Formats: sequence, C-alpha cells, structure tokens
Amino acid sequence: MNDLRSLLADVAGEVAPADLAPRVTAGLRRRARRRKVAVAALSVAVLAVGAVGTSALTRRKPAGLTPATSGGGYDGMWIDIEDAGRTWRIQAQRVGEPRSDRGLVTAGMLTEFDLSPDGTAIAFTTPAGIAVARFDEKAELQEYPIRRAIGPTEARPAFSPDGRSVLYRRISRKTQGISYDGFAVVDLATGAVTDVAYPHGDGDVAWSPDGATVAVPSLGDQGIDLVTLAGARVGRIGGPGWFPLVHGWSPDGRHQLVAIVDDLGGGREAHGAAVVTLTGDVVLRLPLEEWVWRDAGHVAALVGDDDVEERGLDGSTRPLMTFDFGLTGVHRPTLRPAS
Amino acid sequence: MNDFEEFVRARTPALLRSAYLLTGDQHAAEDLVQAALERTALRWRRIDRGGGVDGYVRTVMYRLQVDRWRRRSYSAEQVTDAPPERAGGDPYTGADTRLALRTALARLTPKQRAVLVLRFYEDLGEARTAEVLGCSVGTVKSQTHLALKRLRETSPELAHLLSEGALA
Repeated sequence: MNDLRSLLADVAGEVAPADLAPRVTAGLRRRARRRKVAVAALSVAVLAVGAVGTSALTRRKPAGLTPATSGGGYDGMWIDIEDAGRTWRIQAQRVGEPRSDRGLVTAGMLTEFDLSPDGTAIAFTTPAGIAVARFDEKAELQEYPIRRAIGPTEARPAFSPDGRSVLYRRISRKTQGISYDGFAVVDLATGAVTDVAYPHGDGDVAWSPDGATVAVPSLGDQGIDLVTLAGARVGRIGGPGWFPLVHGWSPDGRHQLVAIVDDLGGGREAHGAAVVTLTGDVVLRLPLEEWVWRDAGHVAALVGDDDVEERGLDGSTRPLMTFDFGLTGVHRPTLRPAS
Repeated sequence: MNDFEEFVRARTPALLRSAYLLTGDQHAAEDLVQAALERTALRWRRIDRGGGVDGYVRTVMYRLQVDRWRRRSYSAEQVTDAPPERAGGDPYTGADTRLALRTALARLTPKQRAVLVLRFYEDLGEARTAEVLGCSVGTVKSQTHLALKRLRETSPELAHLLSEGALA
C-alpha cells in the first residue's frame, strides 16, 4: 500500500500551487448576487420541480423530518415537514441538471403548471394549449392520460379549490411578446368553457380559497387585481416595489403574500415579501426570499441557506429545522407545499 | 471571515493535491476546491472547529466531484475497454510510472477514482470512505475492486504496486 500511496502522492505533487482565497471570496459574492435574482431563481425552481417529476409531485408523506433522495436516477433532495396533517416540502433544487427524459419535461412547458388540491392531477401548458392529467397509483407521470388539450392560445392554468375546474389565461401572441386578453374556466367533467373578459394583468392567476375571487397580478401596475368570475374587479392591492407575479393566498383567503423588491439606490435591491390584507394593509414584512404559507396565521420561510423558520402574522418566530445543504450538491433550496 | 480565509490559505495546498488526483487537471482541481470552499464558507459558523472543518470540506469536495460527473450529459473522459497507449521508455523510472498511473486513473469512473484516492491516498478505511461519499460500505468494496481491476488491466506496468500482497 505504501508504494501505491507514494506514487499517488507523487502524482498529487504535480499540481501547481494556487491562491484560491480571492477566487472563493469572489465566488461568495457571486452567490450573494444570485440570491437577489428572485425572478430567475423562482422560474428555475419551477423547472426543477418539474424535472424531479414524480418525486416532487407525489403524495408521499414520510413521517417526521425525513430527508430522502428521489428515485429514477435523479438525485433531487427534499425534506418534508409534517404538521397537523399537512406536509410542507423543502425542495433542494439543482441548476444545470440534465433534463430527465421521463415525466413531464417531455410533455410541455413546465414553467406553467398547477397541482390539483387533492394532489391527484396536474394542469399544465403545452405548445398545443392547456392539458390536464391525472397520476396513476404510483404517480408515474409518463403513464398518465392527457384528458384535454384546449388550444394554442391558453396559458397559466390554475385549479379551482374544489379541483373540478381549471382557470387559464387567454393570450394573444404578438411579434413582441404576448398579451393577456382575459381568462376562461373549463369544467373538467363536462368540458364546458366559460370565457371571462378581463384584458389586464399578466403572470399566474390564483383562485381564492373560497373559489369566488381570482387574483390577477399586474407587473406593470405593481399590484394585484381581485376579480370575480364574472370579470368584475372588486378590489386592488399593490404598491411601490411590489413584484406581484410571485404571490399566494393565505389558506383562509384573508391575506396575500407578495414578493417585494425594495430599491435601495445605487443599483442595490433588497428582496423580501409582505403579507397584506385584501385592502392592502401590510401585516408582516419578511426580509426573506423563500416562503410558503403554513397555515392561515403562519408562513414557513427559508432563512439563510439552511434554516427554516415559522413566522407568525403576530410577529412570532419559531425555528422549524436546519439542514445541511452543503453536502447535497444542490444550488439552493426552495420551499413548496407538498400536500 | 478572517479565520475562514486563514483556513483557506492553510489548507488549499493539501486540498488541491487531492483534487488533482480526483480530476487529473490543474484547472478542474482548482475549480473543485473553490466550489467546496464556497460551500464550506456558507456553513462556517456551524461547523465544529474541533477538527471537523477539514473533514467537512473534503467530504463536500469528494461528493461534488462524483456528483458533477453524474450530472454531466457527457464525460470528457470516456471509459473504454481498450487499454490506453502506454508511454514508451523504461517502465521502471519514476516519471514513467507516474505517467502510467495518471493515464490509468483517467480510465476510471469518478466514483472509482474517488474511492481509490480516499482508500489509498487519504488512507481512510472502508467505513469512513463510505461516509465521505455518502454510499454504502458494499459500494466502496465493489468500487475498489473494480478500480483496481481496471488499473491492472490497463496498466500492467503497475502490477507490482497493485498486487494483493502490495496492497495488504
């Protein structure tokens, strides 16, 4: 062994010395800058979850705080937090991962999808339009039947709270980008489509938990319109620095959680989030980029690179867990509800 | 961060040597060590200073190397069954033997290479090697066996170093 070790040491000794301290410092600064690119990171997060496919979207609920790796040759890692019958998932994403040839990646544009409330179906945008699919018992995505492809000018699907309908945006493709002409609701049982004229906003629409209102974000207006299924605007919330394309209803429908980008001057920005009432009053500010509703009164947020905390609307803070992402080969973790 | 910078400057040479054995390339070795150190910096406050830091950064480095290869859609170093062309000249001189070993290492998969470096350069046992790579002891055993088998096949001139007696 000594001979082989000596020879290995000789080979290792051929490497030229290098001062890596400046490069490490520069790399850490780049990482810090990357964290500020919330929009890009979030879109990548959606792609990554799509690539994870079956694992990220199954109804799997391991007991306790169980780190696990997904199967199928993809080494995505997640941690599920079980709490009061619901599971919250911290998805550790990778960047630059080769696309899997399994699952949804081959089916369409996974930048746009929504899971049904019971976790048994997914609505997503394909080049041919909106498709709705159900998982089989093993949640093997390549085996699902595509139930309906509506057309090439639909985007941004969202399940109704009861899972019986899907709402999607009507879009017009133009030379320069697209415009949103309104939205439509398709009844999944009958196929009947109800058009709703509302030519405003962009990005993902979100159905309120009671199914009566749709939140329509508008990046240009830095706000969110609250619109009925008849197309009537019943409210509008927003303000300077809002980045409403990233938003979410609280489980009780009383609040919205919205991404905020504060301009600090000199080209510097601070990314965070705000919990606001439906009249626009800010209840809580979070200087954090990754968060997800935990229950009507609490948000789970990623603090730093590996701490997950619960932040209450009453200002309370409670640590949930810490995980060492340094050893997983992941770029950065994101938070998603898993059930 | 001063103590981290001190750690970087103190440990970079040793880390680079291991990384060079893992990658076989100066630039790739520097990139690998840099990536491992960046991840270590993010955890710096939490890592046990009582001897745990070096083990942590090495673990990150080895896993990154194996992981990077797994994530690539192609490998710059193709593993083939054909034995490589061997350097000419006296096979028993030190330079030629080093060249033969470098060439032979390039014929291993990154995991086999990592196992070999951990077992025979870092002098780690099977259990500790498995711990560093995040795999089972059985995997370490099988990868070690395959790595040595391939080295013997591709570089007969190293046979005297790779016999069971020499490795015992």
